Amino acid sequence: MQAARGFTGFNRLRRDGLTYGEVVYDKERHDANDKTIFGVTGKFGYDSVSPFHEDGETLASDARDTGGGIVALTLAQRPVEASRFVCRKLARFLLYDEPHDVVVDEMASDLRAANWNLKPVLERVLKSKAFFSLAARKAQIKSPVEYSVQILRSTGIPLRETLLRVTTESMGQALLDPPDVNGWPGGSSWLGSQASLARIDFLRIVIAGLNDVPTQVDPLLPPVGQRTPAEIVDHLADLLDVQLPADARTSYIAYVTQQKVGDSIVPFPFDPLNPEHRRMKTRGLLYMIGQHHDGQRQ
Amino acid sequence: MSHSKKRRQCNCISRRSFLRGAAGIAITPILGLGGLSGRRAYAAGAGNPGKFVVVINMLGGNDGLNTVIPTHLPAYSTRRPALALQPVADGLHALTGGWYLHGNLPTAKSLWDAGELHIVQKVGYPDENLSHFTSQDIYSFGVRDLQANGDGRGWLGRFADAYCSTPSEPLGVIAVGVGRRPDFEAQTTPPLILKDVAGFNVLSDPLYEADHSLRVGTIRSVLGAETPPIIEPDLTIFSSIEQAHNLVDRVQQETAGWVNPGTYPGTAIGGYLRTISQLLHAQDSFGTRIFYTGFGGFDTHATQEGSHATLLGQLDAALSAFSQDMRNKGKWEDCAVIVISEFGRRNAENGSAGTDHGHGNCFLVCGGAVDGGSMTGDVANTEIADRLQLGYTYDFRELYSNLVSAHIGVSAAPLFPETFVSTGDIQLI
Repeated sequence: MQAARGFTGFNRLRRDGLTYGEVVYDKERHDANDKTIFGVTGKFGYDSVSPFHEDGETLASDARDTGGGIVALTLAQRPVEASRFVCRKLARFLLYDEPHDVVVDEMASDLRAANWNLKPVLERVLKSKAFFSLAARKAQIKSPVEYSVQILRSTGIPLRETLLRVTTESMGQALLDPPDVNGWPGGSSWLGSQASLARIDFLRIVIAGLNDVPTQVDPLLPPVGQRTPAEIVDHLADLLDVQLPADARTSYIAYVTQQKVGDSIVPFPFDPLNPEHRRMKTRGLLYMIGQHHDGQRQ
Repeated sequence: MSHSKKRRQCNCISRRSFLRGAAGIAITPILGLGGLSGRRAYAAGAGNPGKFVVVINMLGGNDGLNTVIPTHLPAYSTRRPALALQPVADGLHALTGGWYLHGNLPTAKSLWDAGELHIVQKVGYPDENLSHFTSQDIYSFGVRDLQANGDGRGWLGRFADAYCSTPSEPLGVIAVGVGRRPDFEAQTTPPLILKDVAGFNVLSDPLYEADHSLRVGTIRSVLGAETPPIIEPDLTIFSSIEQAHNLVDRVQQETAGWVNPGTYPGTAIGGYLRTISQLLHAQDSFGTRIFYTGFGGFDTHATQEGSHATLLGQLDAALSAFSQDMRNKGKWEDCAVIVISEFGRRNAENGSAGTDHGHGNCFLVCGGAVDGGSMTGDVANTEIADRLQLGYTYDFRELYSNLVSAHIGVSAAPLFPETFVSTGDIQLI
């Protein structure tokens, strides 16, 4: 309660009847009276946005006079747990879903030593062996947003905003509406037959927008003259950042020169110079490669 | 005073079981992935085979006082001068002792007369909350104090985790058409959500239908031939995709023999109950024990009379088709429908010829096995005269628990982690 008083004065920018995302500080709305937080009494104002000095100097002396002091004071209550908490989240984001305690503890002690300055910790992680290790490669399951946006960005296929909201929700991530204040649990909670079906259906919706050959299909393909079935498959897999196992790759390459007539699979005389052929098989390959299990990881 | 009709016992062989014995239907998984076997019996004998519950949620807070109507209580008319309904003028259906059903509920009335409808008065939860979102959350999670007692799962998720995980029955709990995320949060076996059977499929590419069929065939043969990955997260992802294809196949194949009786009304709730009928065609295989559905519009703050009447009529027509369909298939005794809502509405009408959010509400339970033609709980005149809204007497979890234990035949203990007051008066079956 007392701490909340310390943070008064911050609000969203409002101009001409519209509310923006920017945060602004209004001294007039700040509660400038004394507050007692964790047994320390002081003004706990908020004169600067950044509560910590660049060089890591502690704020113990003027903790009572700046709002940044509230943050520092809170962290000082349980520094070990707090630093581990922050670093575990960082590690999950940067490395892999289940970071080892050893890694987290190292990061945490770095963070405390740097007086809660994240820069040195980040620097160390980004240069670390852990970051470049095999374990950290494609070790995370893409969230619905990551999965959808990556596909849309790599293919450039347009999608109505409302559709994006509906599809991510059916994959289990209702935008701006996490299940609780902890956000989404992530990891394997993104999976399940329902969610997988939703991811497959997303691809169907996306390829339905892949209509215009010269402006949409051809930019996704390798250059003219390098459009054998194998070259096309490899190029699209690369575009979608999917590493196809050998058997899958072979089957998808075969697909390009096949067609379904009734219940039978018969040869299809694929001609890369034929725009209709290019469109049909590109839609098909995106659909198939996009839903491969390797495409669900990052 | 309530009276109850003796439940009819039928020990004869049902047409369904006769057919099952005569022509054993073997379903081979189309992918040959060997994941889920086509035929299953109710998991290791848990529960009463074939019994299922259908939850119908009237979203928005149904006005119970104008649904099950206390025409004998003077305060009802004095507090609702415009909205109060009268037996003759409004074609109400007599229940018992001055209680009447809304005129647009003739099916409910005939179920009452047949001893197959039970009404519970003043259902709710402790410490009222008039917010739609919070109240619906409470019903979905089955927890009043989420901060303290929630475990992240909905009560349907807890049911699926407890009873539909071994062997894996991803179709053990199915939500049709509606549902909020908390309803489906589970640990191992999230309930399935679908709008209808036709849409629960790997939908095609309209420009290239034949090629789409080739694409899906290719994917599936690759899935079938690929050795499952060894390490995570690959393994979980792979199984998830494999299961999705399997599931879609199962649902399409095993409901294929369903014949549309052509009697379901063309409303949303009519369609959802029709879909449930379609899914029940494969019940022996899916083992579905709880269906969850509903429809909205019940938040009648203004000019309530017409819209409320329409909604109740839609519910009744859908129930009529569904109950008859179930009877024709010999499944009516296996079926227990419970009609719920997140709260009732105020005793007095408001200035806009409507009613505002309340608390305690009446719930309807119907089915062949239901101990019906009776009402649990009562309302005194002072409760309407002197109070803003009816309070609650029966915790909704006691009703759910009773259906789960007495009808489905499994323990309700895993479903509600939070202690609640159970009166012992609820006997729906």
